[in-house]
Amino acid sequence: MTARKLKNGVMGFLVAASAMLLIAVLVVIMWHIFISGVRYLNWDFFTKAPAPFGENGGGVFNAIVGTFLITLVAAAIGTPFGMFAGIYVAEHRGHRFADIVRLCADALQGVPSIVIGIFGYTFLVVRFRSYSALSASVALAFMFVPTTTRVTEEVLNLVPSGLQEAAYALGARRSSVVWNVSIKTAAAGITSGLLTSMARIAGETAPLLFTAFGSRYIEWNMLRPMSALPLQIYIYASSPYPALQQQAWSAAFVLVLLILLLQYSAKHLIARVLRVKA
Amino acid sequence: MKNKRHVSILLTLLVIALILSGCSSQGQPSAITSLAGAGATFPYPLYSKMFDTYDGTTGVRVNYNSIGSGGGIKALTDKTVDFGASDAFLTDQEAVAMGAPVLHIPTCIGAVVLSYNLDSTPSLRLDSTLLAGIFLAKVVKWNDPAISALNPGLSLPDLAITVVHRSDGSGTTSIFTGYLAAVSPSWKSTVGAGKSVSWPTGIGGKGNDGVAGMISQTKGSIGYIELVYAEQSGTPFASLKNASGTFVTPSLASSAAAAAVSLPDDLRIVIVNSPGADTYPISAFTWILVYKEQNYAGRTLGQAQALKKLLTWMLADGQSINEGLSYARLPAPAVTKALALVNSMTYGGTAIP
Amino acid sequence: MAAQPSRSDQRELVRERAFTAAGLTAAVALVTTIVLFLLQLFVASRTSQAAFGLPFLWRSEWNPVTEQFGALPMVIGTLITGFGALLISTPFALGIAIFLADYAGRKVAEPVKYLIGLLGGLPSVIFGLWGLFVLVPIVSRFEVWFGRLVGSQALVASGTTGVGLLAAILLLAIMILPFSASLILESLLVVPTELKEGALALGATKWDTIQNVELPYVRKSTVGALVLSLGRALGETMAVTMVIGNGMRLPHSLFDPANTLASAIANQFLEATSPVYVGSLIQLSLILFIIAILINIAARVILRRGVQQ
Repeated sequence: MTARKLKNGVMGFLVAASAMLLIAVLVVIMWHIFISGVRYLNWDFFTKAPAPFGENGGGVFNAIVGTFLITLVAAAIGTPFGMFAGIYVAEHRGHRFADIVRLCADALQGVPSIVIGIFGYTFLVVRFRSYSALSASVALAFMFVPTTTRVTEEVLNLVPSGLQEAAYALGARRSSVVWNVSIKTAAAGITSGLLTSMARIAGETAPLLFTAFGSRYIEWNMLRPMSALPLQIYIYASSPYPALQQQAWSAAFVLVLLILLLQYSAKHLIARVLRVKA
Repeated sequence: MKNKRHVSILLTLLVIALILSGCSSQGQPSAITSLAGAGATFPYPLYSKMFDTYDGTTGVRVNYNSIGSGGGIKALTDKTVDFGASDAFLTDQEAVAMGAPVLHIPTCIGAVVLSYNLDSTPSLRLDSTLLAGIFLAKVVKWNDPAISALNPGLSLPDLAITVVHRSDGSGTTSIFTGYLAAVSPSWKSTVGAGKSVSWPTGIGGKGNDGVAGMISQTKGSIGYIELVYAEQSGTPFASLKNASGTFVTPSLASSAAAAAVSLPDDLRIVIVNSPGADTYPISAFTWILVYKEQNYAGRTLGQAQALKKLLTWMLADGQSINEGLSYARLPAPAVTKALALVNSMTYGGTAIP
Repeated sequence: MAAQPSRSDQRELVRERAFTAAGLTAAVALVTTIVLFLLQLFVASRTSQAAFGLPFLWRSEWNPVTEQFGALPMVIGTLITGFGALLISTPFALGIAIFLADYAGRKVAEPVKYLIGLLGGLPSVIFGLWGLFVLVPIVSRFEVWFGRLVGSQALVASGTTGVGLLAAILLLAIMILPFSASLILESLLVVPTELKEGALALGATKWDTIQNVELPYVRKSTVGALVLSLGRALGETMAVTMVIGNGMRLPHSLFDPANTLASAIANQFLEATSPVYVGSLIQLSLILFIIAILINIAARVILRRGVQQ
């Protein structure tokens, strides 16, 4: 009797302890990012490009611009492919080919980011003879598409079939039904899925290593090498100079803020959907 | 509807982004405002300052990625950059892979110094035999009699020597191992020289900066880095015995003295172990690599012109930046020959205006 | 009535066709991409295949100087870090999932779930940053202490710099923890309450119920979740690259610097000049790609069987 009660108590304690540990680890990491990151933040950091070797100061504006452009363009490229693939799979549920498509989407999602980077290099950079932000966006789009496909398919399946049937009954064609009824109903969910995917690819580094190449300059042209926050963090963290390492922490802080912003926007939209449904 | 608004906001942002990206390439379609290069970390401090100045005076941005000489050669072979940079000239195999003749344009002279991390930061004196012994793991402790013999009066600790070398394909390694191979027959036969070698001992760092960082963090370590990196990280460096028998401290003057030798026209020359009383024995040129015939992979005449202009500047006005960063200027004969090489660049067979 | 379709009808027809075409194009593009990836990797690693053949997989020398390459050190590094991370994180993942499913009230569960999501959403490079500057010094101090404790010269000689397999395993464990915890939590939440209440009614303690009713119920999906987490760990690149030390030889101890398939590529790809070197690195990425797909398939198979239960 008491043995079981004892075990119950002990296990309960251990279980709670695991949760505490997770929270502790998270707090420690976020604390470090916050404390080390905030120290260097100043107006220059957000508005200037990096200083030349050996000189102090400078900032990561080039990386901020790069992350902004590369992520947006990647999402722009990936969204149509992802959405239409998701629509296709949802509309042809049960068909063999749709299953294959879903399988491929899953497989693509599981491809390690470094392999995507290699593919980006051999297929895009070498072929077009230059490193460019656009090749980085295409590489990131490969990572963006599978999650978009899955989200679109799942959200479309949640649309009540009654709505679709009513539309068909009114004589609408399939494309109209899907686009004007299902997608519109599911739009908030899809958009929030898009934002979550964007948050994910904004933090990716490996695909950028071999495609965007990095640049010290504030670059707006997608056809040239460009910097990005994750890339800049990696370069600065690997350098032995305390000033640059400090900038790595601050850049990390900025990146985390950006990702939190995207995730919050995603959740915010989910909340609105629920309110609408309720 | 709210959702439509979100989508249209995203679309608008996207359109703005695309317009902005198109903006900068409009205006003068033939004017080249940016060049890309990659390669050696050895001269990176100098190139960083040079290109910054060049941007200030001409508005042309040169984007240089410091990934090591091996990386520079690969980038030029894959033709993904305008120029490569390397402290080691192309091996026969690499020259074949390039597919077309490549010019080696020197830009400065630097010194490879032996930097170390010891508590009392002593000024060490080393010679070639001792150096080979350390890197061959024959001399393993700091208080080895061989070291004390050259440094009487210094009390050295009973601490293991940790060798730090490069883990990436490095021109600096090529210079250093070239020196060791020239002065130590046993090094030559066991390890040899090259951008990457099979090190008998030690830990690896990436780039000159990586090695410099490891030296600062590891007590009892010794490694080979370019002079500027040692000065930046504040670690002491050794004076070496040169070919004439004098112990020389690495500096601007002593590395410049190494170039006072007769130079070949293609400027592919190794100047380690140069004769002269004041020369530092591990001095070296570093080169920018470009294809001689610039009409490849769809390059435009404008790109070739911009490249030529940059190189000419680096050999002339740009040289005034060298000494401020502890790199020696190219001696006059080298500049003349280098300019001749630059002028021999062609586009479609004809000289570039 | 009308013999001619109206203008709006025509437009609708075009739109319909375009729509269907778009869907099909996207679907085919997805499938083509995977096939293309595989082909491209195969073709680009020709040089190394020609030089080494199948034995590449178990050759243990990786030497850019002599141009002798073999995947074994990287494969071992990948397996050790992956399974090591899984081993360490699984008990904690189970603990957290059970805590959230059975012990925590709404007020505690919601913030904790949010924190888990937060940790899971942190980019790999930021984990690497933290790992390099916070975890590695701690591991280094541990290695020095441990070496002194055990007194083994060999252990001390191999590395006390902190970077190496141990740091990589610990960091990976932290990284896959949120992922596996949330997957296991999801499966625990679908355990029918009647089963749990039935057990409790029979006099079982809370833990009895968990151990004998819930856990067996979710066994298959938990295993699936763990397999997926393993896949995640095996493919991790940036964080591992930053703390694993880029060692090219077969590691002899957990303190040794090493490489995984992913970190070797990240560290060396940009400077690989010779065709055999480049081909070998791409062959590593092919191996990684195939492992990732196999794990994916394995997880699906396991999860499908779990659902049917």
